[in-house]
Amino acid sequence: MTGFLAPLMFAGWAAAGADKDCGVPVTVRVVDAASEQPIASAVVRNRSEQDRRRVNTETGQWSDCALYLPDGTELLIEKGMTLEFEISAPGYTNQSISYLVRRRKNLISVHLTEMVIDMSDEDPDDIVIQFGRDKPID
Amino acid sequence: MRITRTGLATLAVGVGLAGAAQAAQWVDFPGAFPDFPCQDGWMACIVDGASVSPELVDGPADLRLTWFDLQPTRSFDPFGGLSAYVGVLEENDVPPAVEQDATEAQRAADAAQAEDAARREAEERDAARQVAADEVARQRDAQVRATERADQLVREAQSASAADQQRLAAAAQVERDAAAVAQAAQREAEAERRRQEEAQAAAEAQANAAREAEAERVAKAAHDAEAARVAAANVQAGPVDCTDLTGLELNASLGKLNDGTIACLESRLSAAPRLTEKKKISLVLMANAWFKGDKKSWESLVKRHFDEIGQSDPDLCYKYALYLSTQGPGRATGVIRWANVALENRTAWTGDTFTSRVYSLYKLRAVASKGLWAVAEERHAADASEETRNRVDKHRNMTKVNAREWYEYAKSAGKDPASALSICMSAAGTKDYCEG
Repeated sequence: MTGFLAPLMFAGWAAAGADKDCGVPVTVRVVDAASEQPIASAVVRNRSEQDRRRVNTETGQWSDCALYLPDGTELLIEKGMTLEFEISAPGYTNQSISYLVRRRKNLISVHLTEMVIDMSDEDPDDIVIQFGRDKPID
Repeated sequence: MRITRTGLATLAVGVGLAGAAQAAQWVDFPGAFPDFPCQDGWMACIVDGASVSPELVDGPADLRLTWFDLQPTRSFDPFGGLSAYVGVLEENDVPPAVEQDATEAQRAADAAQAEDAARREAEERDAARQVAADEVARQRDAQVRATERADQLVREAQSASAADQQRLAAAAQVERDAAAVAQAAQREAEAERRRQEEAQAAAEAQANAAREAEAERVAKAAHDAEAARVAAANVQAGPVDCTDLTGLELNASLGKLNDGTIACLESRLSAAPRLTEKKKISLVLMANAWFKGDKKSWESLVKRHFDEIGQSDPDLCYKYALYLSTQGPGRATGVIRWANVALENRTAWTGDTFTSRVYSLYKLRAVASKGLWAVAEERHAADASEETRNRVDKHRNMTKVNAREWYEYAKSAGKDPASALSICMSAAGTKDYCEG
């Protein structure tokens, strides 16, 4: 009866950081770099996956403990894995991050900066509409 | 390094414990397998619906806290009582000896339960008695204080003389009279205040009416003056002749065509049999409206031009798309539509004009798509449904495609592709799509 004491202890020690039905939970929190407010429309995409995961619209957070690969396999996130995320939101510049999974407290805060497209070089006043006369040949 | 040391230490402890466990017999661990693990000395019991026995289930039976996460076990509470036995025993199935044991056990349990209940009742009785005694003491103190105060009042009344009583009565009468006077004055002041408010409201209403009448009079005068000016101009100009379109181009370029000329051009446009003639007149009218600063009229004229005359002029399509892009995200669909039409006819441009305008049109399309996508995302975040999700997907895909076309063109034309790539990656979520 006592023969399994040691393995039991080691198994418990190993399982302390990760649920046996799931991997190590990883949370990505996406906020506006200027206002520090959560971005409700942000999505998080792991490079191994094909799907984009939406963040919670209230908290701006996405969290999971496994990756769902295109071939249907479920890859549990484990300590020591390197995860590569691409975080995007409409109107914001994309950000790619690489993260080494720790045993616990895997909270990644991502600050997206607003995308500014300069439209000042186009002005409708600069476009001259020719009248209906035939244009002279150069 | 610190984690490594901790891991090694844990490993050493585990190996040590494992060695000890291998060397010893289970009887050497009476703490892990106690004969009577229940809180009250029983060998087995039911706590919170789960059985506790000398067998090792998920740890030593008398362990109060779990080993790894310090969570309370079923034996955590040393004061927990035994759960009532809910099984039903058939008399015939129970052997006499077992039945006797069970009866004795039941009796002992009942006695212990009764003793416990009696102890709790005695404690409750003591507590209630103490509360009642406190309440009585409080009431007695309050009664003593009230009696003392009443006696003091009686003594004061007896010591007062008749003269004092008269003086007090006179003072009270004076006070009553003063209060009546003050009340009357207050009523009078209130009435006066109401009268003033009514008068002020009437004066304000009169002033407002006068102001409105004056404003109407001024507006009517201005309107009459404008009508007279237009009439005078028309009379001075004589019969309007708008047949010479080339002659009108200068005034149109300055936005100075008068109302008569505009009306003449409109009638000519309606009556013109050929599209080329209509186009020439429409271009003059549009130029006049644009340079006059009347963008609303210009927009209407452009729409009519596209609907009735043609959409083959890439300059006009480009200008219209650019104008719509300045009107906010609500016009984004129009921007994309007319940018596409302009791109269809881009062969009319050459050289740098071609490069800059095509680049600009791709940019307009991508930015407008991005705006539509952002609006769709906002709506979806506010009130998610299948419809909003489809719209998000549609506009995101459109943004992705338009941004990628812009990016490709920017690269090939030697323009800065950074913004295009940024939008494309934002919509696609990955660089692979945009650069692939």
